Amino acid sequence: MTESDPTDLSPWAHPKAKAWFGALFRRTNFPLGLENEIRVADDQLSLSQLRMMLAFALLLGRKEMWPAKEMEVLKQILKKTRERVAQPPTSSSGKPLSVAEHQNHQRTVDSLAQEIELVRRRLGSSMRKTPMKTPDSWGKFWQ
Amino acid sequence: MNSKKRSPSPWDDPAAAKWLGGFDNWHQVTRLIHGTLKLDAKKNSHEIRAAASMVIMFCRDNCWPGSSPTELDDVCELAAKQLSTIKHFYEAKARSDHSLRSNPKYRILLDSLGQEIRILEARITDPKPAMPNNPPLTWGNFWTNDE
Repeated sequence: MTESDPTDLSPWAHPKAKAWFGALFRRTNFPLGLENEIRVADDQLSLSQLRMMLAFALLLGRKEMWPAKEMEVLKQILKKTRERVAQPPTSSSGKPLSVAEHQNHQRTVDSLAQEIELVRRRLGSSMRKTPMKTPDSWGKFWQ
Repeated sequence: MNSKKRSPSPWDDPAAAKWLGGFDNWHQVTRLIHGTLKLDAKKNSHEIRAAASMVIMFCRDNCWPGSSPTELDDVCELAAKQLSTIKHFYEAKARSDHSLRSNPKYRILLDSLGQEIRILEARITDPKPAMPNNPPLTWGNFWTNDE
C-alpha cells in the first residue's frame, strides 16, 4: 500500500513508481525521440504515425508518469495531429486518392476525433466533463 | 461503403507498426521495462507494478518489439508472476497486521492486483477467456483522469 498517498492506489501513484517513470523516460530519451519524430517534414510523417504518437500521449501523458518539463512534446503531437486532420488527404504517389483510400482516411479521421478529445482532456486543454470510455477502434483494450 | 467498419487500433495500422518497429527510443523503453520486471519483487514492488502497468498497456502484437510470438508471452508471464509474488507478500503483511487487514483500501489494492494478474494471464491463454473490458479497480477513471 502506498505510504505517502493512501487515497491513490494506482500503479503510477507511489513516489517510487513516479521516480521509476522519470528514470525510464530520462534514460531512454523517449520524449526527445518523439520530439525528433514530430519535427520531420510533413510529407515524411503519416497520419498513422501521428495517431500512434497520440496514443502514447493518451496513455503516458499523466502528471505522475510523463516528465513535467517534457509536456510540451505531447502538446506538439496534439497540435500537429489536429492540423493534419484538418487538411485534405494526399497520396504519396502523387495520384488522386482512390475511393478505398478516401474511405480509409475518413475512418482514421473518425477514430482520431475521439482520441484527440481524450488527449485534450489528458493535457488539460478541454473543459468537457462527460464520461468517456475506451476509444471505439481500440477493441477490447484490457483483454 | 460499409460505414460501420472501423479503423484498426493505432498500433495495428501497418504504417504505424512499421514506424514503431524502427523507433529505437521505444525499443529502449521496452528493454528497460523488461529489466525492471526481473528485479526482486519484494524489494522493488512499486517499480515492478509500474513496469507491469506498462506491459498491460503496451505488450501487444505490432506494439511491443519482439522477433517471435512467444517473446510477448514471456514478458506478460514474467509480469504476472512478479505481481503474484507482490500480492502474496502484501497478503502476508495483512495477516500479521490487523490495521492493514481491516483497511478497506488495502482490500481494494489486493483485488486490483488480482485483476492486473488476470489481465496478463489472459493475454497468454489460448483460447482467450472472456474478460470485462474495464480497467483494474485502482486505475481510476483511466481514459480521462477526471475527478
